[in-house]
Amino acid sequence: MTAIDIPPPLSDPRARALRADRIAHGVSLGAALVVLLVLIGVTLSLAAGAWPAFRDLGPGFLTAKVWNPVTDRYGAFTAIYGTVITSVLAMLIAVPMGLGIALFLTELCPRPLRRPIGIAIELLAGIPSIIYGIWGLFVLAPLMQHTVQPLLIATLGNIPGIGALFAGPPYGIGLLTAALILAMMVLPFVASLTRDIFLTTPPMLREAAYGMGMTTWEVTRHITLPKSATALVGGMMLALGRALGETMAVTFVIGNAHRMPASLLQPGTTISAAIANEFNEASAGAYSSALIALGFVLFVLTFLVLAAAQLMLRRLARRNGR
Amino acid sequence: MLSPSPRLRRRKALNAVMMLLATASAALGLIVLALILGDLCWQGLSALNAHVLSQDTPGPMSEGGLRNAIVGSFLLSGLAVLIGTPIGLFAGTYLSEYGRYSKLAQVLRFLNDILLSVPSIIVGLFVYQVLVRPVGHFSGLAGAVALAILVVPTVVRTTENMLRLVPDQLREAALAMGAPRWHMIRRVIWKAALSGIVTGVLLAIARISGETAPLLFTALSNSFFSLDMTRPMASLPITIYQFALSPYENWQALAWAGAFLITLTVLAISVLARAVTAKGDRA
Amino acid sequence: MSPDTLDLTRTEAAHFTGVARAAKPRLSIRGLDFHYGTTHALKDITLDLPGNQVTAFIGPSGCGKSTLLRCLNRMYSLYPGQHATGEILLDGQNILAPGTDLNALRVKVGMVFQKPTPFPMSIWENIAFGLRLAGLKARSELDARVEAALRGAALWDEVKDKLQASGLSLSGGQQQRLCIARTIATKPEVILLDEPASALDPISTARLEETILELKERFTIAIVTHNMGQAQRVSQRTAFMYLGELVESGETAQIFESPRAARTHDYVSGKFG
Repeated sequence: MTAIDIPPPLSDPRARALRADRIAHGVSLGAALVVLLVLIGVTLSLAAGAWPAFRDLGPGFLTAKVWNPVTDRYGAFTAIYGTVITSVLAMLIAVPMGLGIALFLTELCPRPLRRPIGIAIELLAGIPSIIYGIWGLFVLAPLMQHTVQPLLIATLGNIPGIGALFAGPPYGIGLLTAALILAMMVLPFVASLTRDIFLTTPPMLREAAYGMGMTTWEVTRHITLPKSATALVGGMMLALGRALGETMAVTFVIGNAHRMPASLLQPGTTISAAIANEFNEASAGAYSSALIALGFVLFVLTFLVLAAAQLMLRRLARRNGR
Repeated sequence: MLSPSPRLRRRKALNAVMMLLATASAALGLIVLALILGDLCWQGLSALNAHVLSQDTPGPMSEGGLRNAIVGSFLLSGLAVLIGTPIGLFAGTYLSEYGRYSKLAQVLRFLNDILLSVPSIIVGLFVYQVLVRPVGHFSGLAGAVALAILVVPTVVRTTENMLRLVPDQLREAALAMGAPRWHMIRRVIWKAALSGIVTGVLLAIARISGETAPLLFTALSNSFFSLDMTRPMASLPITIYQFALSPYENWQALAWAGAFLITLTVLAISVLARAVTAKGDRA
Repeated sequence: MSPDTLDLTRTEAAHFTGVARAAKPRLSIRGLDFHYGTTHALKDITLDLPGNQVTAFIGPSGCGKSTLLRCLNRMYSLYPGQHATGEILLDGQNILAPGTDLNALRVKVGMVFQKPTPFPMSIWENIAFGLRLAGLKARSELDARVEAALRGAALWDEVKDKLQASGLSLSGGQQQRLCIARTIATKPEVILLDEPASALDPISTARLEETILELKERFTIAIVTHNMGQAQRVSQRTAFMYLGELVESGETAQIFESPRAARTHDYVSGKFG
């Protein structure tokens, strides 16, 4: 091959490229810092908006059960109670069902159906929560009122102790209905997450277990579940974080009552439902400040749950060598 | 010799019970989810007609459609994607390339994963505090910013993941040519990860197109057709929320129609995102 | 680095005078130590790489031969916790010195990797990549250089009709020669080859070795290989490494026929490794 001359470049392209590199470095760093700034902004702006309420009501804000815009007396307990109860109840329903679906998809389902069903569940996980909300309002609530709740009152309602949880007239809407809707909303998320985690169990390990004569359940119980325990707990906490902050699926069917519900069949409220319902009507001043304070509580609550979930998943990732 | 011992029979019985439970819960879950979709299609399709697309939201008990809400949703989501995508793309690039090993990137990665799941109503409150309260009125712009805050973490996450799938050898090969990092990123790494990045943006669009809570106190709503982003703006999710909770049958029907349209959009975008990924994998 | 490193005409001139400079080392490694994390991966390496010759780095896995190669274009600088001390002189300048312009260094010292690394673009674009970096814009000029590079890597006849096809559409051996073409297109002074044939079949390997022998007329080449036959076929000088130390180096024939160290003898005769 003969040598080919290359003409001296007109300008110094290297200097230009290096300048572009420095600019791109700065721009990408700035963009990444937006994430930090947003979180700081959320914290500061909510804290500032909530400050009047915290100042006037003190720590009693968290424990008081009264919520009365007329007398300007606000307590967050009812909303916090509703948030926690509906979320925990939803997880109690969704997690076992999600595990069941994942087990079904990885072990039992006929092979040609696994992919389509798996994809369908992943697609359902992306459906906006307002869809679940509108279905809950128009379909589930009447069903609960006319069929499910009378049945619960007649049966579980008579058991001493837990009977109180299922007492009262069937409203249709209320904590239990909200929890059910919430469960349906997080179910696809939980199921597809669990399936993905199950699939990361090394096939060799499972084959070895089957090779020892274990049944499918025993392999799941003794190999798959322990192997994926940390990931599962982390994933479930992510789902819990979602459930705690979910607004639209709940707002339609919770009943929006700032009364402490004794029974799961009674209307109640959650933090996000209270904010969604009342914020635009709230007069400036104590009322809106109390609602922002509710938001601040929710933010802290979900931040803690999500941070714990992330730390757990990260430790796991490090242990597995990424 | 191989006749099952009582113990083995017990184990098999337990296995059968557990498998039955798993199958039953799968069946129940899938049936309920199918029911939701079924009701949605049935109610949505029966409420759907030409007016839905051509007329604006009506008053109670009169004829109308969802045109202003649909257009508003397009504008809000479009602007949110325009704002959020570049930020997310560059931030993801920082996490995967420029800052990969830095402590700062570790912290930002952690915070981004949290921001990804922060309740969207909190984002709405935040934007209200900084963009609505100081200005004194609701605006489409504030709504778009709230949605953009949801776009950013999604795009950051997928961009970083997709860039990380590009083998380090390709980076080394580009740098071994004397290319500055930015040149390497733009010409080689982004290109290699293109389909994944597009998927991330599509998923972000799917996510925000049904978001209601962040718009409640930002874009609010508007009964009339408006293209002015500095004023309150109608959107499909908020309209569904208001109409569904109303006592009027025509509004409730429109709420179903809107819910059907949103679901259709979200599913179509998700399927498209999958198709893009599948195509990227094959290339 | 001097600011005119991209003035390729100077490099060009060096090629014509290559014969005269052959005796002078193009790369001199002086007392090189390399650490990553707590591992001391290279220990006091001193070695000259003469111009227009192929120097082979051989040794068992983990002996540090690839690490040594990655010092020569500072590829390790990409990763945190890795650092080299000592001196590596390229044309008399220490490339380990702080402030060394790595982009300019890597224009002078090209590299081809174990697995083929075509960029996700067309064959033509793959080769024009480095030329454009150097500021070349004219299409005719680019075309000529792309062709010359592909001919140099013995790939032209196979791809001349599909220059716009994706670089990923080529076979493994072709991809590797595409990477060589991409590297020589910018006319580096030194080419580093990191087990370039390890992912290739025997026929592709043979063609690659022919290409390497042709390239040594114009470039200084360092090749890491675990295949001793390959080292004998393509290299004039060989350096044998073991556990991060340079055991011995010299003429390839001498290393393989009358090694001075017992370890070298054991390794080249296949007793371990």
